[in-house]
Amino acid sequence: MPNAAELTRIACVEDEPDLRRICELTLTRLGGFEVATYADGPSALAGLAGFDPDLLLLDVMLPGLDGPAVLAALRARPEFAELPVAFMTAKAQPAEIARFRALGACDVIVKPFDPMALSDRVRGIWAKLEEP
Amino acid sequence: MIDAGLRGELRKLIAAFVENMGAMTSEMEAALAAGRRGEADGAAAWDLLRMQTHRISGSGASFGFTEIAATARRIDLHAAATLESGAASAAAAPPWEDELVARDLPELRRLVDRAEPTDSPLYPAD
Repeated sequence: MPNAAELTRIACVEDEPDLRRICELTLTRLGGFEVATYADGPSALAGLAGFDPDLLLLDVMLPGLDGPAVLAALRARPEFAELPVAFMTAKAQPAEIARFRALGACDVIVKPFDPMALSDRVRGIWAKLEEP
Repeated sequence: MIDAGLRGELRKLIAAFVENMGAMTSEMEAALAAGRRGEADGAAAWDLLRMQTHRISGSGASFGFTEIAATARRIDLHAAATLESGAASAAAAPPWEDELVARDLPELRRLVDRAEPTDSPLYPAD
């Protein structure tokens, strides 16, 4: 878990190219973060070790390996056992959010979200993680 | 405050999305027309509808095209439910004979044709 560390590197797994691009644009240009994006679970699982993110934004509905399956695969790897992961989803009923948290997500970003406010949203997620 | 570089990137991205919505809608219309001519598979056509409307709905909502997103979402959910009920039933109830598709796809076309990049609340002003 983060411990008074600075949030600098954010990875984002999103299959929709427009959303992937706008997340990358706003997180880098407005938020000042280093960002790596992946179009699907397998490419994220292959690429995340080389990027070493502080926080992962993970779409729930991905083709093939969905978000929860990607999270389970990450948790099975010691280097990602405690990586903070926030799901991004339009499925935002309380029961669904509770399920995502039970799976190990630190937060849930509800779609549609305002891309221009995304950097502030992830800073808020990070700040909560640092609360005692 | 956004800089000129980001402003240009956002404008380009939103304009491309608006253009792509037209192309994706045309692809769905073509699949339905092929089906009516007996040249398309029902399950494949439902899958195409689900994929394209899912994209239009997801990105459209984030870009602020709310009416387009809502119309696409109705088709997306309907197509997903049809596919989940089994490929055989999707083929037996093809989208070109479906009441919701017959109503909502032309509505989506009407909205997409009217859409301008500047309609997006994210489109940066000068």
